[in-house]
Amino acid sequence: MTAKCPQCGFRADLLTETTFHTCSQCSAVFRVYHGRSISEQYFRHEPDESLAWGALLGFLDAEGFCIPSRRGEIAFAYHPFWLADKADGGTLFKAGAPLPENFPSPSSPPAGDLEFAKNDPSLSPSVTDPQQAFPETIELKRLRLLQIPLYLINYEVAAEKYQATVSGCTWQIHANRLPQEGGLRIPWPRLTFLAVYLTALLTAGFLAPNIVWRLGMLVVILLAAWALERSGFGRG
Amino acid sequence: MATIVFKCPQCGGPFEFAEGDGSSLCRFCGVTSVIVGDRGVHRLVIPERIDLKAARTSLRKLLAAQGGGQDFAASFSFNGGRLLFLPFWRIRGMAMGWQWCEKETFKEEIDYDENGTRYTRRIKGPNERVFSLIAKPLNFNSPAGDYASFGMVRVGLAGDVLQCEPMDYPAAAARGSVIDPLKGVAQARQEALAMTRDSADAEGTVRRKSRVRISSEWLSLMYYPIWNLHFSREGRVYPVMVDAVNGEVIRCRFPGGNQHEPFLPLAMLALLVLGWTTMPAAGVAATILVVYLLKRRSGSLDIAAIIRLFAGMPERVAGVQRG
Repeated sequence: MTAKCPQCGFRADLLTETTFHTCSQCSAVFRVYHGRSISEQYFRHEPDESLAWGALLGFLDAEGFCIPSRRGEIAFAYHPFWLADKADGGTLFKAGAPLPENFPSPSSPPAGDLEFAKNDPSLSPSVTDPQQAFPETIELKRLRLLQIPLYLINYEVAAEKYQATVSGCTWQIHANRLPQEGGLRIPWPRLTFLAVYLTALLTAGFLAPNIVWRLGMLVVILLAAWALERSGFGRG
Repeated sequence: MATIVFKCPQCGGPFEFAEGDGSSLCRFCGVTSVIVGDRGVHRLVIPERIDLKAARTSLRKLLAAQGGGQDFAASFSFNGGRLLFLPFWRIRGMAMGWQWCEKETFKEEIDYDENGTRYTRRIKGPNERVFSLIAKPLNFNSPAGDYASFGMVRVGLAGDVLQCEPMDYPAAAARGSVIDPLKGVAQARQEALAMTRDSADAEGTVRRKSRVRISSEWLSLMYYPIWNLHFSREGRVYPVMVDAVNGEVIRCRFPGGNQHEPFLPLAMLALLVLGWTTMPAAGVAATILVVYLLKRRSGSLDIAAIIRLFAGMPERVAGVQRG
């Protein structure tokens, strides 16, 4: 069987029926499925877990969602995706291997600097067969395997667990569920503070002999309460 | 039409040629150069006009102007940035072909009722079949990938107005990251033809058939520069996209600060107590004043907002968003 290298075009005789091959001319790694050579490319990326976590926090903050108080568990890996050019001009993009449960996949290929894969152990070797990924009725013109750097983040907000996928190419966030602002929590320290304040106001209001005394006492109580509030008292 | 600057292969002098030209004459040495693209596709780049410092300043100005002053802008620290060259398919030429369509027709009839009042009736006529030839200039730009996370880039206008240069990959890669096109030219052509068909008059069309092709096609892959910056506050990272040609911030999401009003609810309670412990009329007046203040503060008497105010919960001020 012969196959053409997708990077340099060199046509080589393949001695085995295995899937993985390395071009003897340009050292590019490519795969052969059903006699068809498929280029394997990856997005160049330097892993940075703190930046991925910061990007998730920034997204939650900017979009008005709850912020987790503790850093979540972050797993970085390259994940394979099929990118197919259809004969009618359109493209299809599908995950080459399922992501762990509850982690959504990007719906379109990210923008980035693509390079032909070499023998890199960090790239994911296992993918679904392209014939299973795409229905036979669709005529494919070109098929590529893209290895996309993804951060899978598990985090907790109010004892509930959430998952998010952060793209290492564009720092885009993909999530099925995001931590919404919780229900109305009763701020007991604040309510206690207001109850004491109101009691003091009513006591002064009823005990004051005339309007001048009443006004003076209420202003004093108001200023005292304001000073306490500004110092953080009663906020809980 | 874009103007492209090239170096003459004989004398090295700069000469310009218009987009679509197949050859050009050097005005210094008089040699004629034939223009060809890389594997049939001309690859051009619009050089960046602003540097990293200017991009950062542009964002800071936006934060100060829309986020409530210099303090807000200074609360975000700059973490770094990189230049990206985004590829766009650019197709110029003539869209030529034919179009057949069947349209509904209506005519208006004036009539009078028994009271003599005049009215107009709309009556459906026979369907009209129209065959027309299409021949119109095509100027189409389409992103060669999914750039939703980068915001809107006005490459179409820029490509017409600004000077382009032939793409020099090593030089561009030394300045930033050159993004690879993931959308094929076939899809870009389809989009261009679909735009040509859609722009034809479609009112009242029942059926339509057309066959349109691009003639005298000039195809190019144009790289547009943008700055991708990262700002952070309290460990949260906010990505920003700045147009590297005109310095405009094209995408950012910055949250506003939390606003806490401690004095207003306390003063309102004191006012109510003062009014109702003095005399009923004063109590009613105090209540009306409190209701007026609440309505003026938030524009309406929103119960949730009133509860939040008295419960001392901070409210988030609108942040700065683009794209």
